[in-house]
Amino acid sequence: MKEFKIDDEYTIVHNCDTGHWDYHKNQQSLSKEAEVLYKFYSLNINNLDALLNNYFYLSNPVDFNDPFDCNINLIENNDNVEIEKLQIPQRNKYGNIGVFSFSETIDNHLMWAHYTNNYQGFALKFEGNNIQVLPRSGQLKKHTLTRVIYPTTLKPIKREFPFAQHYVFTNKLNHWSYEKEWRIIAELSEEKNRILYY
Amino acid sequence: MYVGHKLIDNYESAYRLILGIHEERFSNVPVYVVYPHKTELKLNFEKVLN
Repeated sequence: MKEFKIDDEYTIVHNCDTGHWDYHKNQQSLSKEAEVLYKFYSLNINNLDALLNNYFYLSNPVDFNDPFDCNINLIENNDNVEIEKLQIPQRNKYGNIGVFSFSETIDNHLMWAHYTNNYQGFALKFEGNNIQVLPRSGQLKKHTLTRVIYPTTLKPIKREFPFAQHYVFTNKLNHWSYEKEWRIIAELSEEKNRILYY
Repeated sequence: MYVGHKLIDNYESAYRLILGIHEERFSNVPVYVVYPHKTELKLNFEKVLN
């Protein structure tokens, strides 16, 4: 497989030079580098601590405001994936994954409304190509900074696809496209070790 | 660093704390206060430090 069409706009294409799978939109390769990224914070003691001590908190996707974000239902035939026996299935609960979200935009009203609790929080600006994280020894098995894409419909794929994991963690419903999100996705060695210094 | 205007209005002590962290950790970084523009339908970013 060299490429996979996600919808009328987006395709994921194998890059023969790097071996990676790259997103294309309307036949144009999407940049894998972000010049500037912003992080929005609501006002609470955890976020003030993160500000004071220079760290990103790698969230479990189950805590996201979008239950379809990182949802295992993006993989076909996932019946053998164990889920907790809860009344409301948590299909994006991962003990070994941590995600930290950024946005390309600072002047979007919705971002300030939703993520700073209606202008009662703050935001930080980062040089997107120059974010240096400092994992503690053995903390992460691997990590990457990558953009999120917003297809018109979310299309489940086969688990055998070589890009399946990346696909699950970077496809969101089009409703969220205003966020222009990039995210650090990390595979954790220990579930509770979610503080990533920078 | 960007601070929402309601943080200053409603949580003055938190604003002082953030400015203290700024001074200690990122003193060379500018601080902006973000609020709705007075006459236009857009956000205003007012530089208050650096």
